Amino acid sequence: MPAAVLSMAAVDRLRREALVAALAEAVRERNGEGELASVADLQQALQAAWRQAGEGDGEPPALAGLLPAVAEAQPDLQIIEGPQGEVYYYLASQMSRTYAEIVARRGAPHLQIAAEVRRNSRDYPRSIPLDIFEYPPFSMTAEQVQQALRFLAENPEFADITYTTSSVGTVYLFSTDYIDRNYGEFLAEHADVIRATSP
Amino acid sequence: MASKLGGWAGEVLRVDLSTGRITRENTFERYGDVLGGTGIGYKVLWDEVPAGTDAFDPANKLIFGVGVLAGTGVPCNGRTAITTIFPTVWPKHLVGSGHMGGQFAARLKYAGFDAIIVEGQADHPVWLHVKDGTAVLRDARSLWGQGIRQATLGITQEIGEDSAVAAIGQAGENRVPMAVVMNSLSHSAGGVGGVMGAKNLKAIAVQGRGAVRIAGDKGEWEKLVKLHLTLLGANNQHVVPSFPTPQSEYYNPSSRWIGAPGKRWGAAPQGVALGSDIHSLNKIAYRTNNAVYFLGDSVWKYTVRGNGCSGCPIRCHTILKVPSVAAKYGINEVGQNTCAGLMFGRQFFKELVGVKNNDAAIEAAMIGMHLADDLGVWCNYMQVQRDFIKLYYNGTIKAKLGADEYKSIAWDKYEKGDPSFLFDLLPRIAHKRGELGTALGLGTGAHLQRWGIPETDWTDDHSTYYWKMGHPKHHANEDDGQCGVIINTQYNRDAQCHSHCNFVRSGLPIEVQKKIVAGLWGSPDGVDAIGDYRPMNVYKARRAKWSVIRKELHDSMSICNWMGPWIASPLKERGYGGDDTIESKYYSLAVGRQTSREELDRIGERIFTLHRALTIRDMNEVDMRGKHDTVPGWVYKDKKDLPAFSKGTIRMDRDDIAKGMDLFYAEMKWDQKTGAPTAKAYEDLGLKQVAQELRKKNLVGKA
Amino acid sequence: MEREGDSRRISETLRQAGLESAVSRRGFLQITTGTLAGLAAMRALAAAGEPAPLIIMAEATGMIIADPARCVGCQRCELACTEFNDGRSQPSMARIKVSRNLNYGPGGALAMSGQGLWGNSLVIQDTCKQCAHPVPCATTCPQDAIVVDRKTKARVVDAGKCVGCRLCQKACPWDMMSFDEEAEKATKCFLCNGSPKCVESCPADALHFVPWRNVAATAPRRTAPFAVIPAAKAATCITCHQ
Repeated sequence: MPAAVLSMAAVDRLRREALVAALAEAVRERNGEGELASVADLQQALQAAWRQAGEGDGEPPALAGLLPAVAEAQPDLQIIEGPQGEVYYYLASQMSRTYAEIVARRGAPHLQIAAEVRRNSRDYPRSIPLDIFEYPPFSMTAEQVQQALRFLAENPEFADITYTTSSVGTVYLFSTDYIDRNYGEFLAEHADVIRATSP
Repeated sequence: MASKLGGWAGEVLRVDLSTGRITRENTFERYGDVLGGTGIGYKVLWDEVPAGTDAFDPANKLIFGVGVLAGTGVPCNGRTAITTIFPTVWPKHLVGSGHMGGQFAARLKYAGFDAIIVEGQADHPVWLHVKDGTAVLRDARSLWGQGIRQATLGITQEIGEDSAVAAIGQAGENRVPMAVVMNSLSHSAGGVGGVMGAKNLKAIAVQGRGAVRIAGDKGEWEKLVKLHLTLLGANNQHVVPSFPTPQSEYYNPSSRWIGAPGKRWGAAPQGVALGSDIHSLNKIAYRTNNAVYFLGDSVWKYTVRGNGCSGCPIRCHTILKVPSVAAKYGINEVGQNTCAGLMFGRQFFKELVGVKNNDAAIEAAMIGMHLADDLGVWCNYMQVQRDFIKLYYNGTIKAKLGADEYKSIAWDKYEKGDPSFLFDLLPRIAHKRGELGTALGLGTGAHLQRWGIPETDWTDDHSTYYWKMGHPKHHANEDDGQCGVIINTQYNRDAQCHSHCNFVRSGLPIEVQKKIVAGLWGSPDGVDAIGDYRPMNVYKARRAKWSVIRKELHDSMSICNWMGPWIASPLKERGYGGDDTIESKYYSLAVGRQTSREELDRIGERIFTLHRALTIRDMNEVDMRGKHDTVPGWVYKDKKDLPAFSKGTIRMDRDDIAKGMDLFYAEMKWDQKTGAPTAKAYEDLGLKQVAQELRKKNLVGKA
Repeated sequence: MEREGDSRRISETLRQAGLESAVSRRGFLQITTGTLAGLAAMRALAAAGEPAPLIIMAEATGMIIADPARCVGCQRCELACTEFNDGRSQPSMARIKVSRNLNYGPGGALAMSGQGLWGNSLVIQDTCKQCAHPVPCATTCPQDAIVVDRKTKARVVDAGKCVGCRLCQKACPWDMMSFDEEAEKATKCFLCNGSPKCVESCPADALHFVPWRNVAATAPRRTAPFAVIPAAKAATCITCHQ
């Protein structure tokens, strides 16, 4: 049906639907790259969609007003906060909560380390090797890791984060909130030595 | 007729090397009740090999057995079980089996056979050529003395490339107990090489153009195979990756699923990037790289590709290309193996044990594969290396070797961790050269005895990993508490059971594991977190029973127990559960007879019980509990003296383990006092004649 | 078999397509098979249910290509081919051929050419080229039993016509014909109606189903083909090659 015969209300509705779809697509696209969609990402997507709709002159509707509709169209839309309270979006079908949490803390290596150590100690339970933080998705430099560890050591709220060294010299981390020292040491040895010598 | 049933090739080949007579038997009629693999092996040993036979006696038999799924596209089939009176079992040779992957199992089926029974002893070296339903013995005198590779090549040049050759090297020829049979370059069965050598049988070549028929609907079969593929993780059925990914809720840095986005097979012609779609069924083969897992991240650059058995998408062998070893040591720059075979050379050096990302360690691994897989030397699940290190550093080797022999060995090289030391050491073992070579080739039990060392020096020392009867632990209390202990008591060599540890090492959080266990065995208490063991209960006994039954089932169907069973999966939508009925579904469709999980497990139990009966008969001992199902002293100790049931110890409690054995025997319907199956237990499994024979010798458990 | 009718149809087809000039004075076909694919008249004939000319076949829509660097030698492709299509596991009958090159490469154990597991570990996967004209297997078949699949235009064996003479096996320079010993019929890659099972089953992303191109000219031959062209069919060839 030609647009000319649509009522203004119908045009508005269609335009709104297009914007909502563009926002959902923007989240999906960022997630596909292994990233969360930030508010800035969505604003950018909104502007682009608005321009594409030939509405370059006016201001697009507010992002906040559209998000409920995005959530309705995309029921697996999830919100996650970064360390500074900044908001990110992801689709549960595209990205696990675990991964989203890691990415959301990307600007704060010490928080990333603390969160992963606690998660592993609590859920599996296990001690984890320090060197994983040098690999993706953490990709910290050795200096960043050292800095973060210093920060953790100096701040009482992270007093539970501790380390042990396996018998072949690998450093493992665990949280004493969930794992006592003996257990943390055993789990490091199991992961680093026992598994390798009992293949 | 078996052929109408599907799955089975239909015939078992029997080769009497003493007379040269070759005959055939109908698989289903004669062996249908024990499936194949170890099942046929145990049955033949029970029916035909007298109690007390020495492993190298011509009266011993060697049974190469595969199963209904060998040669099919079922993921993770491809295993051949070689069952025999096993030469490293100490103090008396008893039933045992070596297992190999590679191409042999499939090609034996295509050649028209489910098993080969080798008996007697040839009066000169021979090799056996099995081709499309026929078999002939050939003169092997020109191959004798050659390594496995040259022997394999010579045979292949003669008969063609569409074959698989299982051969022994110099170690097997020289009747070294610590010898392997090897096929497809890197797939070996431990301990059975010397038995083959004692029979003067250099190799078996299998070649065929035949088919394994799938009796059921091919569309259903395709669906089942595709379902199974979705349940696969990486090697050892680790179902979570070792790295966080957007697609996974869980990760485990210790997982063997290490093919992360950004990693490359660096030695492939143009390099192959593994990509980010890690769950794709078209990229399952990228998940595992055991060379990197065991030798370190730096090995990605040496990786050519993964390799493995016919039909298996999990490539647990890694092909490495390390140009420096060609320049430095004059050996082939390309090498391959997995796990213990991969680490064979490295583990001899105290300073290199478990060391990763280290040039000497990588070179030692390459030299180890180059030598051991050609000479055909076995490691006994790395026991020989642990023994060597302990015996050298505690001065025993110096004390036991004559001064000349001791001086002839470059111990300075050894202490420095110089991998070239292996060029001297390994041929000594293969050729039984000198006291050192001879002793190391015996296997731990006979070796300790020869040197007058009490076995308790090993059973009380946790660092030896030694369990009993000449062999080490194989996934015991360090992985699975009482379950692991019980399983390790049951076999005559190391247990080789992975049903239990594949699950507890799967990488899933303990709560997820507990949920799966509750669903299968009735309570979440059927599994503990590793190193946080709680007192024994009946659910653990049930899981232990299931573990050994599935092991035997897999060994008798050519399924890899290093991968199965598949009770966990990477699938969130299944709650990370797998499918415990997959084996019976495959069996039903392949054979064409609807068979439930329970019915198939009963066959597995029959096979396992036959192993028990053989052990009882050949030990001439009914008190299995006291004389066989023993637990080494180190299990009841802790370095820090932590008490049993405290977090962070694998120390077990004697009374609790006794209770564990009680519960396990009860689940098996065995006599709790002796751990021997009762007559009823045998009869319920269709083994009435076995019971009758044992009763005559007073070897049946009391009801 | 109406050979003369066939040759007349070819001439007629070329005339309808305005391609008479493509036949030189000596009668050789000057057009490429690529041009032939565009022959509207030929399509019209096929659509009308007329038997297509037996010698010149429409080009396949797709082909399977393989990357040896990624092949992990598992042979799942061969197994998927025969299990999912035929209900039996039989690599010797698979229409993709990997096992034969697995250990020593296409040269085999005597040549020791340095490929395969015993060499550089590269496994060459042999796939059907879905040849352009002249299609060796189809041309040599005295029964005209190798025909074009309607959907994929793959060259396929019409089991109803095949008498199991195996001449097609001798004719393929890449030794890609298979033989079903149970049915006593030849069989070959038919692209699984457009979703090749082998491609689907590869766990290393080493096989891809791609738009067809003519690789027959460059792919190294595996054997010296022995192609017998039945006399009646050779007469058809003369239509163009005179």
